[in-house]
Amino acid sequence: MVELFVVAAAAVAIASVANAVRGSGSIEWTKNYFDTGAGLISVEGPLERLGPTEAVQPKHPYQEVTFDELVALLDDPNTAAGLNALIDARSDEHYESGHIPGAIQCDPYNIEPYIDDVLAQVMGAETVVIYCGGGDCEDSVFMCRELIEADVPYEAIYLYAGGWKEWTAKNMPVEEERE
Amino acid sequence: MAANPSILRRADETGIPLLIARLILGVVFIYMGLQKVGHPIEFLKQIRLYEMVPESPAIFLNAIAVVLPWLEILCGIVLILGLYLRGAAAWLALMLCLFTPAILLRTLAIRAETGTPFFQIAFDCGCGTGVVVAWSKMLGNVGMLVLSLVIMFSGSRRFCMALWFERLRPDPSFCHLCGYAAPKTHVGLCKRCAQPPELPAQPA
Repeated sequence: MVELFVVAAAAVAIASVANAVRGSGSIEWTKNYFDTGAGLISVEGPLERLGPTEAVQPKHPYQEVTFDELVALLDDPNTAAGLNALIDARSDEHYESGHIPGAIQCDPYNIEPYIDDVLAQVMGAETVVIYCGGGDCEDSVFMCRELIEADVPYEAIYLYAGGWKEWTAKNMPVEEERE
Repeated sequence: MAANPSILRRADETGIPLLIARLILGVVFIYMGLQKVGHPIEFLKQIRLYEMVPESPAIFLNAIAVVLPWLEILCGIVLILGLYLRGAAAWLALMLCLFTPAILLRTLAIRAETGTPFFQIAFDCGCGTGVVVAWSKMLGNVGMLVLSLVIMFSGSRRFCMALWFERLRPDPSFCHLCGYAAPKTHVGLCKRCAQPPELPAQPA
C-alpha cells in the first residue's frame, strides 16, 4: 500500500510541474475544453435524435453552412475585402499540412497564441465560418464557444460541419502557407 | 524455504522471469507514456471518447490527461530500476484492468454502429501507438497484465536496486545473497544460504 501511494504521489508531483512549465499545449486543470457554449446562447441549432425513442437534443447550438454555401462565400468579393472570415480550428500540425485557402488558424485547445490576431480579424466581420476535421470532430464547436465568450455576435458565427474531410474528398484546392 | 519447491518457485528464485517482466513492461510503458506526454490534448480527446469520466466538473478528465502519462513513465522507470516493484506493477495492472474492458466496449459500440466485423475493427485507442487492431490490442494488454501479476507476486528481488536498500536494513525481508523473500533471516541470509556448505568427506 505504501508503495502505491509513493508512486502515485511522485507521479502527481512530476506531472503537475511538467504541465506548469510546459507552456504551449499545457492543460488547464479546471477548464472544460468540451463545453459547446449552449448555455451562453438561447437559440437552438441543428437537432439530432439519439435513438428511436430518445428525445431530440441540440447537436450544437450554432448555425451551419453547406459545402456549396462555403464555396460561394469564398468567391464573394466581401471575403477578399475582409468582411467575411474563415477559421481553421485544428492543431498546428494539421493546419500546416494543408488548409482551406484563406483560412486562419485558431486551436481552441491552445488558444492564447492565436486569439488576439483572430479577434482582430473577425470582430466586425459579417460572417465567420469555422471548420475542423469534419465527421465526428467537434473542435469547430468548441472554437465557436470561444468566439461567443469573446463577444463575437452569435449571428455572425457559422459552422462548416463537413470540414477538412469533405473539402479534400471533393478535391478542392488547399494551401499550406500560414495566413 | 519449502523442502521441494515447485518449478514455478524455482524459476522465480532465479530472478529471471521477474527481470524479463520488468524490462518488457518498463520499456513499453515508458514509450507509451512519452507518446502521450508529447500530445496531451490528443490524449485528453481520446479519454473523452470512452465516456467513462464525466466532462463536468472538468478536473477529473483533465487530471487523468495530465497525470496518467507521467504515472506510466514513472512506473516504467522504477520497474527497470527494480524499485517499488509491487506498487508500480499494481498501478499498471489497475490501468490495464480499466483500459482493456474500455477498449472492448468501444469496439462493440463501433461494431453495432458500423456493422464492421469484430476482428477487423481498428481505431486509435489513445494508448500512444496510433491506430491499432482492437482484438490484438486487447490480447497484448492481457499479456501485459500477466507480466504485471508476475512482478506483483514474485518473491525475488534479484537484479533489483531494491535489494541494495534491503541490505542496509537491520531487518531485511530479502536474503542478501539470493535476493529471495525470507521473512526471518539469519544475519541477512535465508535459511538455505545461511547453512554452511557440505564439505566432501575427507579420506581416512
